[in-house]
Amino acid sequence: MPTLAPRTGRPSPASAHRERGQVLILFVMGATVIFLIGAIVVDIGLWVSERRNAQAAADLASLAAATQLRNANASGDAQAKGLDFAKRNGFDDADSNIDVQVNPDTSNETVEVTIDEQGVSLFAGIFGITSPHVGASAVAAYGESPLGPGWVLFANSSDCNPNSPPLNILANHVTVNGSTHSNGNLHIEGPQDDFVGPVTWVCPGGFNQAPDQQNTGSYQPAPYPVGSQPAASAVGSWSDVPCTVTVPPGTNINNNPALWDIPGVRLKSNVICSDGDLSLSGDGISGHVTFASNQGQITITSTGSTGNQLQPADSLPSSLADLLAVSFASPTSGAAIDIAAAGGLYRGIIHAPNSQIALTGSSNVNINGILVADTILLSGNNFRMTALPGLSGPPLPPEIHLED
Amino acid sequence: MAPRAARGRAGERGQALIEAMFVIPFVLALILLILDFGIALDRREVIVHAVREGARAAANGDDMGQIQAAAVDQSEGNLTPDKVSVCYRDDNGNGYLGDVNDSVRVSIDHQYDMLTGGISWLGVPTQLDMSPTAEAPLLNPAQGTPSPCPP
Repeated sequence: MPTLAPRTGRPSPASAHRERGQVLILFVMGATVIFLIGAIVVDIGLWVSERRNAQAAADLASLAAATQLRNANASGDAQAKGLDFAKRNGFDDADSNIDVQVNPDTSNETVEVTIDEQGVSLFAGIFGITSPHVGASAVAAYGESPLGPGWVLFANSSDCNPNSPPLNILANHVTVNGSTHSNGNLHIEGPQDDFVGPVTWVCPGGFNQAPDQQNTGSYQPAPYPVGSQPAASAVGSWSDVPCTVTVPPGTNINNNPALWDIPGVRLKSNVICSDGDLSLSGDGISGHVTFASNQGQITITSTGSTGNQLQPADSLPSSLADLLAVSFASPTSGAAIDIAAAGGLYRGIIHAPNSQIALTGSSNVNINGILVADTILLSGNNFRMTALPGLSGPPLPPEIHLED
Repeated sequence: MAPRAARGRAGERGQALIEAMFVIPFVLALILLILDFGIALDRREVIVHAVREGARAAANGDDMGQIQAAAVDQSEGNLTPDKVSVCYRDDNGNGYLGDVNDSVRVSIDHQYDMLTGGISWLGVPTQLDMSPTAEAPLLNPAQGTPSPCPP
């Protein structure tokens, strides 16, 4: 009759002998699994991290390359820019482990940047995975921006002398709603001048503002340089001016009753032309009238703070419908058009293609129009300038974005 | 007299406990070290992500405060604005800093304090330096007063 051996809790010497080496096998199997998990966790983690780095670099490189797509040498410039920004963000094409491809498509105005890198493997090499390719690509597109708001101040001189900026804004507490541009230098003294619309200039380093203006003024958007802009020309030449009445040089309009509906109060609607100087002074004057001088200075002076209400003549053709004052003079000193405006409203284009417009504003006068001249000097305080509706200004910065 | 095998087993009593006393601290230190490096790697990812977000804001023309805020917001509470620096390069060489086609560099100065820094005698550093940078093209003019990057 079989009997059971008593349970001692210990393996018999025979079974202990049979289990020798079992731990070694378990250890080898366990270590293999641990290394496999280590390879998965650490190496894949590193590859994902590298891929994220590559994606970020590709994004920035493609955006940088897309800024070049309107250059004359768009393809070459875009490739150089893309490679440069990939390098600056850690992916140098010269590195034998890194390949950066920049492929501009000038017809669609897009550029694709592809970064390919030989990934690092710490544990995966044990399993034969030695050099996985880690990479990313990004596509950026150049988007045309709409034109900015209409011009308010346009100085056409290309003078880059910092001591004689073509557009010199000495006035303080001025609000400009529209585009401000100088084809040369631009100086803003301020303080507390606010610009709602682009402030642009052409000369390298040509934007200068006084420290007070820098601290107290505002710009929306921030000032930026642009290429030379075509002059916002109102009238091509003197012969284009549709005069309705011509007066002798040196005429003081105040002393010519034929030009008034109500002397000293309301002017008749006319395009008043003169070969020489024209002047008007007073307060509370209104009228639809255009002032034009071939070779003289136009002077309009407010003598009180009620302000004048001046608008362009009714008889102007549609192409010149907004012309308030024009002088083709090129005086050796002083301005071709000199306006001292206190209060009231001045609406229209004020144009001095060969010389300066000097405008002194005060008492919350509204200048609703454009000052276009070779040079512009703005002084005074507390007034507002607003662009005429329907007229466009300078190109805004392009809208460059990543494609999905 | 007790058998020889039984005497041997009796002589090994408590040996495992003593061995464990030596081994367990090292095992725990190893686990802590692995955990610490894991946290450090995570921190590095967060900081690199933060600097990229700062660069994206900078490319958009945001001012210094907005760029710093963008980076700090993405740092999961690991950064303060003073640790984020921004500088500009006049890439287009027009003499004006901060206009379109210039570039902006955002840098973060951050040190990760190792939890296991106390065992520096094992070669574990007390701090890991994490100071990533990102450079972006300026797509809009920079707001404020841009400062130039050191040459």
